[in-house]
Amino acid sequence: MPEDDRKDINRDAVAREIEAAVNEQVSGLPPEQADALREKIRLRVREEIERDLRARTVSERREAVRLAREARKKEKDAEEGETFLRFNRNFRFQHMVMFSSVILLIITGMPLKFPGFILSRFVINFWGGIQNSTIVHRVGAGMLIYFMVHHFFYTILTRDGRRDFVLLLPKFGDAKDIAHNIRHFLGKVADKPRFGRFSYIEKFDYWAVYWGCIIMIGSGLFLWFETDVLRFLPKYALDVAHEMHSDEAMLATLAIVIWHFYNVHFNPDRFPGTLLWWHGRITEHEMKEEHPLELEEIVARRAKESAEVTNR
Amino acid sequence: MKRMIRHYLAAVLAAAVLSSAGLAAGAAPGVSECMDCHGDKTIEKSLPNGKTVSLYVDLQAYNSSVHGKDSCVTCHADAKAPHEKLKKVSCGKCHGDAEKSYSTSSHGIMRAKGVTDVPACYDCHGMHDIRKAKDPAARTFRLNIVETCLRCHKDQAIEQKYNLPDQKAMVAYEQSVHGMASKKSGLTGSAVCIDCHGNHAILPGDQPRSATHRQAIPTMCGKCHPGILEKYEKSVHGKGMRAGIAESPVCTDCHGEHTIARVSDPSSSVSSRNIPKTCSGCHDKEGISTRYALPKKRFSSYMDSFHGIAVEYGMTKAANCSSCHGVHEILPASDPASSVNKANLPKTCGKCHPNAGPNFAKGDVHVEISPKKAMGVFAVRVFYTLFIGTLVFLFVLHVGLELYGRWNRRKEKAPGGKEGRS
Repeated sequence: MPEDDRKDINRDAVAREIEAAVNEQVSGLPPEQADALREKIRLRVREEIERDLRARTVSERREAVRLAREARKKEKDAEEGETFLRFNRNFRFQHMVMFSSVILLIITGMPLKFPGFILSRFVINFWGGIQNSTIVHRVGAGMLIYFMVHHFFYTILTRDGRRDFVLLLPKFGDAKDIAHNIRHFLGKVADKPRFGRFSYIEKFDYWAVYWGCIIMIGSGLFLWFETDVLRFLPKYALDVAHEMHSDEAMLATLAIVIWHFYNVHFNPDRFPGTLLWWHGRITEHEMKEEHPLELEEIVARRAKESAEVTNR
Repeated sequence: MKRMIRHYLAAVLAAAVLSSAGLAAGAAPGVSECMDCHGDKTIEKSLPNGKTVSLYVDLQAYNSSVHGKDSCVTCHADAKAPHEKLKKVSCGKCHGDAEKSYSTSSHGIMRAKGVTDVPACYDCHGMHDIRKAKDPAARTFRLNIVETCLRCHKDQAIEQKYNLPDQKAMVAYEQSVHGMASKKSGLTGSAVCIDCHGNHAILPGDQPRSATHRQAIPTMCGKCHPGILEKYEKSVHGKGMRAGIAESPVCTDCHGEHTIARVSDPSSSVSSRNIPKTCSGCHDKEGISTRYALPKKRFSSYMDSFHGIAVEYGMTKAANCSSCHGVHEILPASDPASSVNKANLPKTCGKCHPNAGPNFAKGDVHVEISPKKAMGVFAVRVFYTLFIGTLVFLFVLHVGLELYGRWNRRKEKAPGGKEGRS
C-alpha cells in the first residue's frame, strides 16, 4: 500500500469512509454471511479509493488549476482566446538566470569603463567599494557561465531545446521578412510579415546573446585568471582580451538597451512589458498578431491528432 | 598722581638704601636691590602713545632661568639705582655666534633696518625667564617651538604685512605626520620648525643660503631620514637634483612641506589614491617629457588600465606608480637595476601576481592604443567602433521606422484620415 499518496490525507477520514461503505454493503445480509463478506468488501473499497487518489497526481492538479484560471480569463475578455505555452519552465529559468547575471555584470562593469561618469562612483559605493564590486562581477560571471552550460545541454538534451535551436537558425525567409517589414513600416504594404515561432527580431536577440556570451566569457576568463593565462600567452594577448571585453560589453549593453528593450518593453504594444518571461504564456490573440505561422501549425497539428483519435 | 608719588617714593627709598649700603654696592646693584623696585607688580612705564609697559620682573622665574645665577647688571650693564631708560641689552656680548647668524636671517636683516615687529632674541627665548632649549618649560624646547613660531606666523596681519605664506600652510603642519608626532605623541625626535628652517639663520626658501632651498632639501630631510636619502641619491631623481636640474623632484615635491602625511593617510599626496596625480604633476607635462626624452601618455595610459581605475575607486591593493617603479629608488627602465627593466618585470609583477612569468614582459604595461604600439588592441577597437556604430545605426533605424509606421497608420485610422473617409 503506497504511503506517499496518502500523505496529505486524513487517515481517520479514509478509514471511516471505508467502514461506512462496508456497513452499507452488508446491512441487508444475515450476520453470519455479513461477517464472512465484511473483510472482502473492505479490501475492494480501499483499493478503489486508492486508485482514485493515485490518479490525481501533482501535475494533473496543477493543470486543473490552470484550466480553471484560463476559463475565468476567457470569460473576462473573450477575444484573447486560448493561451499557449510559448516558453517552458526550463527556458524561463535560463532567461531569468541570464538577465540577473547580465544586470549584475553591467552595473559592476560599466563603472570601470566610465570612471568619470557621475553615477559610476555611486554604483561602486552601492556595493561597498571596488573590492566588493569586483566580487559581485565574478558572481555575475559565474551565473552567466552556468547559464551558457545549462543552455548548451538544454539545446542538446531536450526536445523543445532542439526544436527551438533549429527554428532559430537564420533562413533566407528572414531577409524577405526584413524587407517586407520595412515596406510595411513605410506604408507600402498593408499587412505585417507573417512570422513563425521566431521572428528575425527574436533571432537577432538570440544570436547576439550567443556571440556576446562567447566573447565576454572567453575574454573575461582571460582577465579573471590573468596569471595562468600569461603562462601561455604574452601580455599583449591579454591587452587584446581586455579591449574585447570592454568593447563587447558596450555592444551588448547597447543591444539590450536599444534593441531588446524596445522590442519587449518600449514597443507601444507591450509597454511597459509583459509577464511572458514569468509565466511563459501567450494568448491566441497575440499569437495571431506576432506568430501567425506557428499558430497555424499548432492548429493543423491538433486537427491531425484529433482525426487520428476519431479514426482509431 | 598717586602713581607718580609712589614712583618718587620708590626712588627716594632706593636712594636711601643705596646711600646707607655704602659705595661698594652703589656701583653695581645686586638682584635684591633691583627687586626693591622691579619686584612691585604695579610698577610700569607710560609710553608716548598712551600705552603702559609693566616693569615688573618675576624674581622666581628669573631665579630658575638659565641666567638666574648671574646678576641683573650682567646684561643691564648701565643699571644704577635709580636709573632712567637703560640701553638695549646685547645678547651678542656672550652669544656672539648666535647674534652673527641671526643678523644674516630675514628676521635679523629686517631688525637691522629698524623694523621693530620682527622677532629679536627675546621674542623667541624670553627675557628674564630664558631657559635652556632642553628644559621642557623653555619656549625653545622642541615641543614648544611650534607654538612659539606660530605666535607670529598664524597672525594674518603679520602675514599680509610681510607677504608671508598663507597661515593655512603654516597651521597645516599641526596636522602633518611631524606635527602629530610632536604635538599628539609628544615625540621629541619629530621635526619641528627649526629642524627644517634653521633657527637663528632662518631665511625664505628662495634664497640659496636657506636651509629650505630646493638644492638643500634632500640633505636637510636626510638629517633624520638618512636611509631614504641614500636610496634617493641613487635614483634618477636624486642624480638629476645633484646635477643641478631644478626640475628634478626633491622630497617636498612629492611629500609636500607642512602637509607631509603618512602613505597610509588617504589625504597624503603619496597615498595610493593620490600618487598617480602627484607623479603626473610632472610626468603628464609635455615639456618635461620632451626635455628629458621620456615616454609620453604615461598618466592617461595608466588611468585607462584596470590598475588606474581600481586605484581611482580606492582599491589600495591595486598597483599605483610606485608599486612598479619604486619609491625613492626610481630608475629609468633602461637601467638594468630598475624594477621596470624588462628583465626585472616578472619579479616586479610577481609582487602581486604570484608566479608571474616572462610573458608579463611581452607587451607594454602602459598600453598606448596606436597601430605602432599595440596593433592588436588598436584593430579590436577599430573593429568594435565600426561594428557598434553600424549596429546602433541599424537598431535606431529599425525602431524609428517602426514608430513612423505606427504613427502613420494611427493617423489613417483616426477620423478624418484616409480610412476614416472612405
